[in-house]
Amino acid sequence: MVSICFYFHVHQPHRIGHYRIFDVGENKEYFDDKKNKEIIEKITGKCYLPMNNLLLKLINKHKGKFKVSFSITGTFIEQLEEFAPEVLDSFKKLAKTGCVEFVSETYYHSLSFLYSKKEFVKQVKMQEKLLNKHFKVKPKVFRNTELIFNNELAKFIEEMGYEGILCEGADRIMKWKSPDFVYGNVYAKKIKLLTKNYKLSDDIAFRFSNKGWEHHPLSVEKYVKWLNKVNGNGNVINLFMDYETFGEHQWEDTGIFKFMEKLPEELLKNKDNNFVTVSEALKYPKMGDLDMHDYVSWADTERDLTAWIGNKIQDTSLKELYALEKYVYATKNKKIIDDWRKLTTSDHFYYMCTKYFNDGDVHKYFSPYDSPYDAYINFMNVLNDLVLRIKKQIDIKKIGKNEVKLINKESGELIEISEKPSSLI
Amino acid sequence: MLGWEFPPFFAGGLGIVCYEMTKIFAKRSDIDELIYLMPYGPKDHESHINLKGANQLLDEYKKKLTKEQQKVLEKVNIKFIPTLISSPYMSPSEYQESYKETKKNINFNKLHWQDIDLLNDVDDKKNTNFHDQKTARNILYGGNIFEEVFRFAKRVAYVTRNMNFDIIHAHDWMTMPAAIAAKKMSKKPLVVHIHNTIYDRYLGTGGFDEKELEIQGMNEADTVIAISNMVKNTLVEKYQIPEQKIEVIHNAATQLDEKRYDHMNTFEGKKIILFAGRLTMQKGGDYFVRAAERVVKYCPDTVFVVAGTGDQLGRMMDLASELNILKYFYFHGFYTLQERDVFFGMADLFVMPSISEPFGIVPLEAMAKRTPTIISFQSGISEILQNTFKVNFWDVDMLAEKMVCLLKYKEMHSQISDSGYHECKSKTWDEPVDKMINVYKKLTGDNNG
Repeated sequence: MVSICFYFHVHQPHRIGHYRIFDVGENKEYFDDKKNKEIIEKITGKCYLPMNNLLLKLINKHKGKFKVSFSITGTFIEQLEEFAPEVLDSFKKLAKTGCVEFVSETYYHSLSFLYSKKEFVKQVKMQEKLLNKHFKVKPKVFRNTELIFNNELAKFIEEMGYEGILCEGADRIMKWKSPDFVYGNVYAKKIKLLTKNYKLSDDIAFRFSNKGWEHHPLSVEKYVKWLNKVNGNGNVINLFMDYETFGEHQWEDTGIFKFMEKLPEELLKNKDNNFVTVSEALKYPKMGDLDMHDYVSWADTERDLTAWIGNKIQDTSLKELYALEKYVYATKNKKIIDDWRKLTTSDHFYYMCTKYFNDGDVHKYFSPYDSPYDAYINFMNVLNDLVLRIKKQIDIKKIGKNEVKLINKESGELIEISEKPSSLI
Repeated sequence: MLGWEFPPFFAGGLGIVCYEMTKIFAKRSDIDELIYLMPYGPKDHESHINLKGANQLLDEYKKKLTKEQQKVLEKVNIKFIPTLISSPYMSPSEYQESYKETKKNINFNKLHWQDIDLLNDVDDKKNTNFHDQKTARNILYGGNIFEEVFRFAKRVAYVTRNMNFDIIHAHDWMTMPAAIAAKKMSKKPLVVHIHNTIYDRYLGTGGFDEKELEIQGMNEADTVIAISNMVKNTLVEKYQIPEQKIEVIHNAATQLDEKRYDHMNTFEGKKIILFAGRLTMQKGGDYFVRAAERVVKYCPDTVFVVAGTGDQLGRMMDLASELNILKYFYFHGFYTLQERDVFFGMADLFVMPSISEPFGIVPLEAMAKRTPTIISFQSGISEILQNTFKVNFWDVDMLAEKMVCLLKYKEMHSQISDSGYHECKSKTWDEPVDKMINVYKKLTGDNNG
């Protein structure tokens, strides 16, 4: 018996508009709604609508035997509400079939787990609320931004009440183990891990249209043969990928939609196979515990944090952003808090990656900037403007060398005494 | 290979580029010998074409070289082609006369190379110090250069009659007549390497005789190498050279000095933004001054160092004065190589807002010293550099923005310094030479190495 667990990640950031240093203090909006709208509309036509329709068709056709799981970020849903409500409706339709499960994450697709547990919890709660509002579900499985994972996260998420976590089946973690089983974690005894089979996932997500690949063009028959091979050596094949794979990364003319249309039928020909959602996959017994002290992610060839963290501009901008957290909340100003949270989206730091020579092409493809340095300038200019706005809302009184009192100007309330003053303020 | 300069006799970047290139060629096992033909003023009156004379020059030349350079020359055979030394040793009218005479005699398309008298037009009475850069410059480019260009061609024709080689590789317009001549004599394939065109040298306002030679050379060429897509586009649009005939091969970094001079307190701890080079129209000096006006409002502790001289120096000074920011400027004027080294090593930022720069190797000099750079999209080098800021030369606001941010955001300054340094180190001549050898192989039908 082998189960196929399809999981699709759907996300778009609020991209920042061109923000010059000369714009600081000029009350200019940070986010480029025009551009964000254009992108949402473009991908809606190429991917979201056609793929949602295809999934709905397949679910109906196979009468409940075809299932998939989704994580849809808050920043994406916000943009759908504004720019493409028809896409949100079609996701709701999928939710109603009962064959689609929703996975929880941070609302803002942020790196907050690494920088502020307090903010992390807030963003996960927001996401839970959002999923409940739109899809009437209470998620049982969690995925952290870009599948960033380690032992500490497993423990933390277990304590938040989740039953399972998705993570990358990176070779350095799996070693001789197969990703096609359910595992536990050495520190979090209750929670179960679903590890991505990156080879079979990337065959669809990355290699599908690669004409230099020996298996190009990939036929459904051949792919299903590969999946069948796992039968007997594994319980569940975790095929995790960006949803934009369908129609956006792999264009329609590559045959990706036709491939997906035929796949369930071909796979279900073998009566030993089935499709499962993420929490159904968790029903398989654990095949031992994984120990992941260092962070693992699904990004770049390194599958670590270096896509977002590690060079000086990424580290500085992240540090300065999170140093503002207490000041931001002290303002009690909805717009300031909202703007700051949108800035926590990991994409902004992904654009600042300077690993040009190996993964650079991928970073460049997704980046709206000419260079990582331009991304940094834009971000820091915005952050400097945010500081000015914060200062209008709160009084910051120095007490001692390393402590500041934050007092809300409007209410006169002492919000808190902060020990780590921001260097920007 | 046909060139006009070679260190230590060079007037500009072309000599260095040719030298760096030949160094790598010399290492390659698939190249048996590289013969470099270049003009040289006469020392040997008896016989201009007497190779003994030329070899004497070569021996003299070799003595001047470092061990490393000598080693390079083992496989590189430099042949000096004696030419008439022009200004400052001839009056313009004398030159004009001889020039007219030559032009009358030479119909370029119907030249009878064998018939040309090579011996009667050289004056060896003037002793010149060829090892002094300034003199060398005057020798190579002085007076009426067309005269020299045609004379060089005649002699190259003569020399190449009995020479054994497989391919001709000629650099820039001055060697075009020589290249055509060599091709006619030898029937060997011709590669023409274009480092710049009249549209870069005169911004389209002159040099039409030179353009004529460029066109003839490229028409005769089997393959044209352009040092950037920018040059390629010019060749396609302004010269009507078929696109498929052109290969773009970008230049690489030469051996660059890495030393910094941060300890020097010349400008009292102020941030230094450097603009360096010949101050000609195409360097975009105006835009630099206009951007400075915006920058000083945000970063008043900045000094704008302008190193170099040229016809735009006065214009830049006037503009700075007009904008009331002259006090933020330091105009250094002409600089020595050593001063140049110090300026690049103490700058916090190097700016090259060129209006038209077929390649522009200078940012690499800054990067080797970990000085961040801002360059214009209108430079060929912007096609291959990653760790730099690129702006349109006319976009003064954007230029100012990048300057301010580089001064303000220290971590970014540090990141781009490091990444730029490593990028610069990775730009060796091996890759461009590989590409050139591939061009040769295609033309000679030698695909086995």
